[in-house]
Amino acid sequence: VLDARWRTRGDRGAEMRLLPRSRALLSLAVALILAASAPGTSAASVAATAATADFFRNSTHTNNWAILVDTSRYWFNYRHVANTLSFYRTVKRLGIPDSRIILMLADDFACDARNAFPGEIYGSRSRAVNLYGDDIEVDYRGYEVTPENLLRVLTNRHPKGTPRSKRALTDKRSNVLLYLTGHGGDEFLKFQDQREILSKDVADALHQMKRKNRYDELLFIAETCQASTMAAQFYSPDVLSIGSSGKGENSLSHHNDDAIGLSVIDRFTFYTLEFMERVRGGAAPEDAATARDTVNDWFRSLTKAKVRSTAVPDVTNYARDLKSVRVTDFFGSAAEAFPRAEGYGGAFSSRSENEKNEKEKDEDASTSSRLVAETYAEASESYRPLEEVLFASDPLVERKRNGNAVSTFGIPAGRIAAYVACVAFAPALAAASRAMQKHF
Amino acid sequence: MPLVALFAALVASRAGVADGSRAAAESFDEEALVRPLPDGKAVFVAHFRQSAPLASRHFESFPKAMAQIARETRVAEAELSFTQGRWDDKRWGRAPVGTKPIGAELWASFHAPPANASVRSSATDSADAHSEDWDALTAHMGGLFCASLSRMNAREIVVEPALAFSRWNGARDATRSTRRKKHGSLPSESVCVENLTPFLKLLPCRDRAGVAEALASRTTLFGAPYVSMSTLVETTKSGDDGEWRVVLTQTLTVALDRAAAQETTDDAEKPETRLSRLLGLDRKGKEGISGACVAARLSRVHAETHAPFAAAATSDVAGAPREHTALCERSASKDASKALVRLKTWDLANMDARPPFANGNGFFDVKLSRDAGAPEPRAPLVGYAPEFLAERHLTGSGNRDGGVSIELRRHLPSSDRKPLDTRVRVFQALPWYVRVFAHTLKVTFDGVDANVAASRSVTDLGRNHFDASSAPELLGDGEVEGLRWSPSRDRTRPSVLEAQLFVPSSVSVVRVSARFEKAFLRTEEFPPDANRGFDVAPAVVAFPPPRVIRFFRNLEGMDALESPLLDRMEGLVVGGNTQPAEVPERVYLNGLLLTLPTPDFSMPFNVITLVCTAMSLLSGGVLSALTRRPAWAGFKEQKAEQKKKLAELAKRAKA
Repeated sequence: VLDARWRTRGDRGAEMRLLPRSRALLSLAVALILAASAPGTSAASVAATAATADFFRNSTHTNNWAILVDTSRYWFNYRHVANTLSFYRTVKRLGIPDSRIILMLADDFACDARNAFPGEIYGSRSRAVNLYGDDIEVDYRGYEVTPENLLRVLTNRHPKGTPRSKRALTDKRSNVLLYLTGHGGDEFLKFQDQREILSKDVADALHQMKRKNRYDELLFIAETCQASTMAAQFYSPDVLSIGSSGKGENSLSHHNDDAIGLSVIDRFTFYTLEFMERVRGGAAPEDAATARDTVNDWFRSLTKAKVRSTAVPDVTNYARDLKSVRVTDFFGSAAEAFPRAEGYGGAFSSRSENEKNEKEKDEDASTSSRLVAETYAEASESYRPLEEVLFASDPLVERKRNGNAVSTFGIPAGRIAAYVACVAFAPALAAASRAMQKHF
Repeated sequence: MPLVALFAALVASRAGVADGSRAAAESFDEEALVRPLPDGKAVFVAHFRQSAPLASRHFESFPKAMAQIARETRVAEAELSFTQGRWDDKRWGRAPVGTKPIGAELWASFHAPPANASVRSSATDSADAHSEDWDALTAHMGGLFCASLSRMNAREIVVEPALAFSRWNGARDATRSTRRKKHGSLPSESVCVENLTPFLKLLPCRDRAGVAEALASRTTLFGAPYVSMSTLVETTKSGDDGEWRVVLTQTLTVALDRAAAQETTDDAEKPETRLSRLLGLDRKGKEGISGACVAARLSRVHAETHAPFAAAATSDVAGAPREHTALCERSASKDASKALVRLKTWDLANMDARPPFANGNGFFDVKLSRDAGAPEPRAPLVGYAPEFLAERHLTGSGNRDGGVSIELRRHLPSSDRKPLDTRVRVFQALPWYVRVFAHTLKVTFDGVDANVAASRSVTDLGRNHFDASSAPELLGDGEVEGLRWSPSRDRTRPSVLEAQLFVPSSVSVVRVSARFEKAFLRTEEFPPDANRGFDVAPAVVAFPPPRVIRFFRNLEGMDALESPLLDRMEGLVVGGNTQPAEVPERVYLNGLLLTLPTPDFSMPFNVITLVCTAMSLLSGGVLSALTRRPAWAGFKEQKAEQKKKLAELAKRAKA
């Protein structure tokens, strides 16, 4: 088996050698065209500002959640915990608090007797970053990591008395990052070598989530063998998914650490991290204009030459253009603030008020206070409810409201097809039975 | 839920006066103790105690989550501990504030629901209410401490101990009380950084200031041979104004490797180390404790040493220490100086007066050193050494039968230690899949069987049976004084063995043993790692409060040193208080790993495959036999002949 794998990998390598070069040429051409089409610097900057504004308006979420699951038990699966913790570290670094992260680890490797670095987990040979950190909070661990509990977290159907820390309390404006890693196969993922979850199970749970207004958009990442098949059955709208490998492919580990004695991270996660480490968490427009941190950039960075398997994105249920989706829509925490009409005053006033206050500094106090009062009056005149400000006249929201992938009756196309097939098949069955009767 | 609301209202009405002086009503004490141990180890104890009025709606420093849990679950006392490793009392002596079993352990007792809260008032209903409270407590604590305590919900783990978890003299009341304690133990629960995070979150200063700063290096804590953190919640009614208070006591005990942290000084003859090095703070770029937590009422560091060890502060930021000394009683050595125990206490509150961080010397650190020329001690002082060493073993072999044996061996490290009559309590809960045969229960004193069948129930024990050692003249031989045996019920409850034994001074080995049969589990009852084996929770052996009292006196006359940590230390009396705490010395035996008959889990799939093959062969055969058109040679001819004959018949009929 090993030989075969090596051979295929070699073949793939030969295949891939051409690709980066052609891709580079392509991007060069695109850059040239863009440069030629730019009429002038001032116009370009105006366009950029407009683009920035569009960029932010594209996303309709107001909060972020992350559900990170490692499904593998046993010491030799160290790398799966390292994968999960790499994502944990990234989302925490980009601003999602522990209270909005559901972390599931099927085994405790940090304090395993075999771990040469007690209380620590490393995802690279350099051991530069302790992924376990000093203030980790694991919500589900050990035997609690089961398909049942994952589905319970997704659908928020828990037994009575389940504490808050073990629930994902998402709402219809939540962007959810769902990351699964472990050992899997065609449309299934094993949990602790004992149970398994099917793509269909996750698909149904996600659909229930959508119906119960539990997410705005969901990014599903699977890092297993044949990972992209985990998303094969998904049918709910606004679900973007990516798997580390295509059907029939293995996901491979990246490198070993001799002191730990095991592979410490998988390739897909390693290169995702490599990309994410460059991402800055700030929502400032200048960051947005310069950062190459759209989901499209991320997906493009996962070339076959690096990952050694095909990282397959699945956009069949996803409407937005990936070039306009920032990775921080899922990996960061939405922290856009909207000024209240009545204002908070002082340090909490919005930027425009601050600017006005700057101008007023030279004037005397009474004028300044009058001006501030006027500003507030203006603000309260232009006050609109947050929902309206956020979602009015947004084509995307309109489309979402009307429902794009779910039909009006809420029956997905796949099911209709199945019904049609059944109906079509019924006469055929009848004919067959009649033929049998005739014969006898 | 109306029960809870009413209880809260009740509490609120009783303690409603507290709001005005809230800040004064809350207190936080932090203390630490370091003690060099023989065999190149040292023990560090961090101890935090907070209290607040239970009915408060706002708290200054007390963690609100804890008060809410205490209110909602009506908990009277609950202790949750997480432990990694086992305390080696033979080599290290007694632990300063008791040891804990491996994994997670929770025991709790609850207040009775208010009588007027509900029409239900029978005893069974109150038991139901308690189990509801227990379920709520395990769920909340599990959520708070990142642990899978929900597994304690299963009735297979929770039992109601009568003897082992109460005060030694209070056990008599405990056996008759309806306010039973509940106890759950998860030996396989992993203990790691995620359990420490919430532990530190409960402190006003977390690990940023004060004693908790010493816990900064997680690698050192979780790489230690023994680390245990326990959180004790108590709700009590204070005497004068009848105010309900909630008291939260957190203790972290860690055994550290002193030999590995030793510094190589110029003077090679004097091996010494610093507390900051022991605790791995140098890895975190710290040189010690930077100051007291501002919320703390008391902030102290104690060092307890005896020859050949000595402790000293590396700088005078915390001022001169207060010194107490004690003679460790009944010591083996004739040389009294060797058994002289010194207790130094530094007050971290003094550090506030220091000049701010004069070139990094603003840190408080303790230097531990060993006398030049003195060898490393291999055994603890007799005063610290336990009177008995206890072990538990699995016996038997094979997948069906087995046995369990608890052995208590009198520990006589030197010839001039005189054995004493004593009483011992044994508590062992075994899960239901270990089916113990009650008739095989055997207690032997130096190989002589005691009459177990004739022993009385623990509830019938007389008052004199609860003294540490009474009436030895009446009881010449070892005896099972009281026994409580509750057999297991499959998938419902575990078996519980509780016994009180009288061990006369002449007896040196006591053995309690029983045989059992291993049950077959259902497929879905096996955990994912079934082939590793099943962890069986440690048994508990409780001894009377240690009679070796280290009575500390200040060098300059009596000085009552207020210290919640020293109050809890075993066999230690400080200041004017001459009554030692009535807390029995509990020794947790080792956990066991039991292999149950484990099937090959792929077997069902083999069966399914085989059955499916057979089914498809059968049904396929039948179907083809029923539906296939005959295709033998000559069929068409035969048909043609028939047609011809029919045609002829038709012709004839026409004709």
